[in-house]
Amino acid sequence: MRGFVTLFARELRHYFVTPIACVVIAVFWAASGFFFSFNALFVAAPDMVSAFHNMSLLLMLMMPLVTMRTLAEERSGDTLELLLTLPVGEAAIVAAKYLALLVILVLMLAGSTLAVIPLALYGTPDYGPILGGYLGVFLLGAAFAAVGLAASSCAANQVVAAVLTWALLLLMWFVDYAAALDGAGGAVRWLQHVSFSVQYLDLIRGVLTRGAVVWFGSVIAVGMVVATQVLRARRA
Amino acid sequence: MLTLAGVGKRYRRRSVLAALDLALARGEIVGLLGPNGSGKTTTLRIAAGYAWPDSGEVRLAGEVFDPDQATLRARIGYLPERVPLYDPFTVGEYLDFVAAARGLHGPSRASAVARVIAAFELDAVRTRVIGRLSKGFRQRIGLAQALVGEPDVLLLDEPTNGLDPFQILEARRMIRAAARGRGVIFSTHILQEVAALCTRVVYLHEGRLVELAVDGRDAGLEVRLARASLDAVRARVHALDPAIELRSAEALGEDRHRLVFDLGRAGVARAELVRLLAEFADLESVGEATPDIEQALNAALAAQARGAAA
Repeated sequence: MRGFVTLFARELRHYFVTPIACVVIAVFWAASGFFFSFNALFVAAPDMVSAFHNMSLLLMLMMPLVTMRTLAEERSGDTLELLLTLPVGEAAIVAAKYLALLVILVLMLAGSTLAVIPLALYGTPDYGPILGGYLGVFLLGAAFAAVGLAASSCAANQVVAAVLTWALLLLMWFVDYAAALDGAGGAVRWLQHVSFSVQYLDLIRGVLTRGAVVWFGSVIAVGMVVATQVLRARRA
Repeated sequence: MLTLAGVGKRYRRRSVLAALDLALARGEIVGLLGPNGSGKTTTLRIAAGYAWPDSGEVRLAGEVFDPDQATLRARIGYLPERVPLYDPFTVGEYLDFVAAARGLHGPSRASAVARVIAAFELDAVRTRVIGRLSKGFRQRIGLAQALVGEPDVLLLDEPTNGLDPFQILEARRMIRAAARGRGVIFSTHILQEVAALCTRVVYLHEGRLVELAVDGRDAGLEVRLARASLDAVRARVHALDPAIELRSAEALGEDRHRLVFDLGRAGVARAELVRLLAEFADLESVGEATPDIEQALNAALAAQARGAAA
């Protein structure tokens, strides 16, 4: 993919020459730390499952704030015309932006690993499920990022991109509720399979099932394909 | 160098370009004129590979330019109508990014950036954030990015739009310098711009190109009268041949003894026209007339109006 490294470096730099990434990462660290501490001190014995649960919800809230600018800002700022006339392909543009999002996601999750320190100091945590849980939350966040990237490719306005992403994520989170409707019939199993809220329960316990990996991998792939095709369609 | 052959483009139901043909050779500066909505930007976007034609083809150095030919885009420098800049970046960072995206690496990238920074006198603002620069500087940076990597073809969409008169003069000088050794197409509304810069002028009307005669290559006939009423001669010429048309109506004000004919459109040979005129007036002199851009444009518009009426 011609130009991928250049585009990735530019994208990552863009996050850090503006306050976006620092603010989002700092807020995520503060919020996840607060929830972990509150849970440990006032609610129950400290464990990472509830921390991962809170992180998942925080990611659903905050990831659209990071993804909203990816392509919508290029479009509204007229730089999309520059990108699409440089000798780089649409797939390289999308992949570079997506990889930069994953770097931000990793940084968000990296700060939360501080929570493991008190667990190690005052207990004997099982690191296997913790590592699995982090992989699971990363997979969930990566899927959110792909949905956000696809939404941003469709919007010319960043706020619209964020709202569209939240709408899609909420739909995919609560889609299994439709299984409770009369007449859902054979669709019940399918609705539960595609629901983020059902799939993530195994992930935050550190259980990476093949079905979950395939489902979240599919969401990521579809998100990137949609974003690439929307960019190609912009040329039409 | 760059050829658009039979290019057609529709947006929804509206036809923007209809079988447009345009060839650009090295060393040419082609001015693309036309009213708003005539398809100038679409033409440049198609030539730059940002939009794809519904029909026809674009060739660059003989190769067909299609959506999967990303590498060919490195040979085209493009400045869109709204200058595409990353405001949080410094000038140096932005130009370095464009150079890297054009496939330049290492010392060649650094020298390519240094070249355009020197050419567009951007050294003083190299480390400044783009978002804080004036419109004139932003336009210069836009021109500079189009030239990074020495592309063969330069496409400029209204490059002096919004600049003050001093900045316009400066931008013209830079465009002229940038045009050396490459082909340039630029669109504008400003006739003086075209006259000052272009070696060739085309006018885009209803999706088709009309070549305008400038630079004296399609000279008309200028007749000065020693005596006799200009109006009478004009009326007589019209009476003799309705196809013969006065091109230069404004000449009637200051200089009532001057007539300019467009020979290509008049449909009569020069000798025949001179003979007809001599029957009704004393001719003081008969010579070549070099139409200026405005006269050429008026002639083209008049011809189109006649064509539409017919």
